[in-house]
Amino acid sequence: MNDKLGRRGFFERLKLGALALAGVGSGACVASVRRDPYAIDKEPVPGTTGWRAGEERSVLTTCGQCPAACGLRTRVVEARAVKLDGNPDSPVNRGGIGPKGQAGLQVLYHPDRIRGPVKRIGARGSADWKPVSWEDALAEIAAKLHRLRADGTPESLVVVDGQTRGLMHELWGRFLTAYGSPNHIGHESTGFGGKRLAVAYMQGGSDLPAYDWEQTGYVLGLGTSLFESWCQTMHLMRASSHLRHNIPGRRVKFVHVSPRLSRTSSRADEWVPINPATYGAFALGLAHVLCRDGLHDATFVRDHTFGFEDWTDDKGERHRGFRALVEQYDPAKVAALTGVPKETTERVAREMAAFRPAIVVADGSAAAASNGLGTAMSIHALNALLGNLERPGGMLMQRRAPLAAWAPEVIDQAARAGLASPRIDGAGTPARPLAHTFVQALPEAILSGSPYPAKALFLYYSNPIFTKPDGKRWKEALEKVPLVVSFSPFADESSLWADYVLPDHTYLERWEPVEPAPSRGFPALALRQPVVAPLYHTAHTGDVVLKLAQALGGSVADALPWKDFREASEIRLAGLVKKETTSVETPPDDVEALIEAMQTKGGWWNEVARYEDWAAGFQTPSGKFEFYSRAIAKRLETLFPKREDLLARLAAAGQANVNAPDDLCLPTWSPPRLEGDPRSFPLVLLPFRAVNYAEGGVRHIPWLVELPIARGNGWREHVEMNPKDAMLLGLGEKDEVIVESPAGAGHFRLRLYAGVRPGTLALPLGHGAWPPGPNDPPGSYSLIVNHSDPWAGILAIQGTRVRVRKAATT
Amino acid sequence: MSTLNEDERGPEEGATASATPGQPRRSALLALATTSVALTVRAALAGSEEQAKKPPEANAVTAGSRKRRWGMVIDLDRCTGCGGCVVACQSENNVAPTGPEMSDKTRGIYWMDLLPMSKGTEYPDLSETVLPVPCMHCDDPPCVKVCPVGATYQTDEGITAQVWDRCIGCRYCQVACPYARRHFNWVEPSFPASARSQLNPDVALRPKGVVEKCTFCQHKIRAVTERARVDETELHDKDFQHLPACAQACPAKAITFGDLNDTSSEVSRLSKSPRAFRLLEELGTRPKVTYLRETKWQD
Repeated sequence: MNDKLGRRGFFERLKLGALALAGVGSGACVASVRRDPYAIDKEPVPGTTGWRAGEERSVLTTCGQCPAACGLRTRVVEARAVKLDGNPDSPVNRGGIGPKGQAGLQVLYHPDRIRGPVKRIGARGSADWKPVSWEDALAEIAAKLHRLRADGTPESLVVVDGQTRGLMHELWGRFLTAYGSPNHIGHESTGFGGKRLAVAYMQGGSDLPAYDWEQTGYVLGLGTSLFESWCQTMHLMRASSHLRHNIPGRRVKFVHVSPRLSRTSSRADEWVPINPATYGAFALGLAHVLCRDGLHDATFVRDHTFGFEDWTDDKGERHRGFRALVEQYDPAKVAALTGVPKETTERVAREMAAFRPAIVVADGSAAAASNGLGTAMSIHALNALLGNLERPGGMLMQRRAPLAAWAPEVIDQAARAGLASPRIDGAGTPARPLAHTFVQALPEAILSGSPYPAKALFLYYSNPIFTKPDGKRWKEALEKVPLVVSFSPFADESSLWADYVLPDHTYLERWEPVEPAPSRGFPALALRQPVVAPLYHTAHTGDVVLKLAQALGGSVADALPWKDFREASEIRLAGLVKKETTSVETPPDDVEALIEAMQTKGGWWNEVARYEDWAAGFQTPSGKFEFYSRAIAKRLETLFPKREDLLARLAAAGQANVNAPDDLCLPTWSPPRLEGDPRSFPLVLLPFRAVNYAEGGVRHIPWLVELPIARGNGWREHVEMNPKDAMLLGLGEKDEVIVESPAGAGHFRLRLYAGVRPGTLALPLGHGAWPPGPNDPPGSYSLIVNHSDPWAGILAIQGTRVRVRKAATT
Repeated sequence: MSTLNEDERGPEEGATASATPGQPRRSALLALATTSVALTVRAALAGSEEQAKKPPEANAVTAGSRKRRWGMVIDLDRCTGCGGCVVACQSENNVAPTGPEMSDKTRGIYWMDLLPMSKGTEYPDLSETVLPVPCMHCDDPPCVKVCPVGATYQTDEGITAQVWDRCIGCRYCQVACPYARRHFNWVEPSFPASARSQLNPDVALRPKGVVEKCTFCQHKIRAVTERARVDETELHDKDFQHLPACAQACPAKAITFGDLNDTSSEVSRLSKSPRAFRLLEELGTRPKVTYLRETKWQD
């Protein structure tokens, strides 16, 4: 060391010191010098291990503010994380990072984090907790779970899991299977469920699709907040920048269809205003023009699709094809439904066909209506008509990272009996035949005790009182469940109602491999690693699940035999060893080397595009894209073996005139159901998620609350109204108003914005009181009437009428 | 499959940069006229005889020297208005959230702000653009001239900097700045005890009663420059292109930073694009932040 510290080095250091001093005066001091090459022993930083004064490190990890899984490069100074930057190597964000990602520091260092496991001693909602040790908390919970299994009612354990994919999601699934409960309840039905179901039923697979943005020729977005809360917003921003300026001689047109002039529509080349929840009709209108004028990709349709022309089944029954179906949707008729002039529909259809490959894209919010599945299928069908599937510049089936499997589970008799029970939310039963999950039915199921009582409820990445309609009913339901456990790091609304809170680490303190939400189709697995040691007495929920399994013993313990989540993950990661990859030069030889490589690059990925792999792209009974979904037909046949049953079910849903089952298997249009009498509730409520909607909402992260988009209103729940409507109602900017819907009422601040469609009221979600109290008025989700697509269980977020009046001045 | 490289740029700027030199959009005459007016005013106000004697351009370009003159280009056609730059700036520069009350009075502090610019008032015939606005770091900064205590000054690299401790909170600079890029601390910046850990040690905190502003992340420029000097390595344009926190974060790579005196730098090239314009150029402040936009800009 001293050899290096020659005369020159000594003077350099003196100069640096002088510079640092000078910096104080100018307000911006260059104090810490990174990786000082002339380092002398500096004093250790108190309260840390291995940190020296002024020492800086750069740690790669993965963001957890949304499912996109952007790569992060964290600047850590003296064991404190001081800045989150984008990881330039990450194929998701390539060094860029949005507002949510950077605000992660306010999650990590949030003053309201729960510092260790707690047990409720007061009334539910009172936050009257006492700290317990991890050992005691786990022993008590395990004893209760053991009792449920011993009583032969393992199905009464319900896990509401906010993750939709990834190892934690799979770990919960494995735990529940071993334990014997079918109730692994996801959130898709209140999020992007419609889109996922459309892809699953028409194309197969269980994932959201990916898009080949960089090579596309035209983008039509339907209701999709591509630049706000799309599941791959960061990648898309980069892609749009590329499409506009980086391709010589070409500038890709982006058309955006939505009722409100959103940030996304204002960034589009053309904004097409539309009536709420009528995207399906518009899509069928486009399909009509494509088919009528022969603009569709006839070869692709012939070779790779099923159900385009009329067809006859094995029993000799005639079925209508998609071409015949769209005949009735001529643009003039569509104009009456959607408010989009017929000339626009004609032109957009011609443009789409002319600038192929085109991408037609929608997200969950477009399909979040009572006609959700039909809408999502109609939109997806356009991609097939244009021959965009599995082609360069089109829509791709997301390829998964080739993880190894865990050893098959061996389950015992008790588990088998439990798994044979129907799901408590009714998904996949005659109640919601086409749903994969139906979380918004839980409060009624729990309160009615039907099909059976819920005796234990776990909330992982889930705060239903705040983020689901019927917050009040959720409170009542949680009240009724004897054991409620939350894994939230924060004392959020639902955690206040829990018996135990077993706080998870935040994502910046956790080790876990994360699969990014589908983006460009190639397989990727990002790595999350702690950027600082856990600040509090929290525990990785993965480890907690494994400990619970061990405490339960028997076949449950055998199914989850690993000592911690990392060991469980390493078994899966073994599948990536020696596999082709572009993240590092040579594929690692063993798991240890693989993890080492993932830690230095931010993850594992194989950035190689695969096109026209039809077997991987179409995992359907026919091996083709299905305009007529045979998967739906089969499901209906299984659930309703007799035709009368199906007709009765249709009648119950108020759809007696629907031609079953064909209309349910095809992308059909039905008018959206809007709850509330138009005479007393004149405005249609349009809830949306703005760019600052992070994991858990907006309200608890000050930087996001104060993001300039809300112009000083971020701390308040606010609604946006067209100035003309406001004038008619005698309302003005910043007025305090009461918004009432058939489901409830709330106090809001009014903002006037000419981009709001007259006759609608726009509601940015995620704002509200923080920290929450038990007697807080219900949040903005409680305005939404809890009704859904009668077949697929997709929550009709666009499905409520409201009225607005001035609040009494205090 | 094409991959997106942050350094990729379209052919447009490259092809046209040499074709359209000099003043891009605003009348060069007007700019010249206003500059000389401003010059006289400055000479009278500040009494800085030595500086005033120099011809207008001499301030910026010292002939023959390799002195840097920092500038920024913001491409509005790439920007999606996400606000990544805003939070990046707040995080890097220890800007405290101001809380509900101050926020309500629009007294939030945003060194980098996002201003909505809407056109039209009748649905659906309207459009909206979001304008990211950092300090313009004018070559002829009005704020510097009015500061009675010399707290704010222009560095020899063209950055409008400020010594926080010297500010007396008179807010003259706030009034003088035509871009409203100066922010007053109405309340003591508050960081909860747990959040103090996330403070950047490189940037001093500003107390209540002090005006603060964007520094072009001067501390980062210094760190990089100092590092290169110690390591005896050469610095290139690309080392600076995305150096300020806002530019580094931008997911669409809409913000480019660099030396305007280096004619080969990206920022010089882009600032001569036919799409380029600057805000309120007619005031003669000679802002060093340039915007790019395809369609005509209307104030």
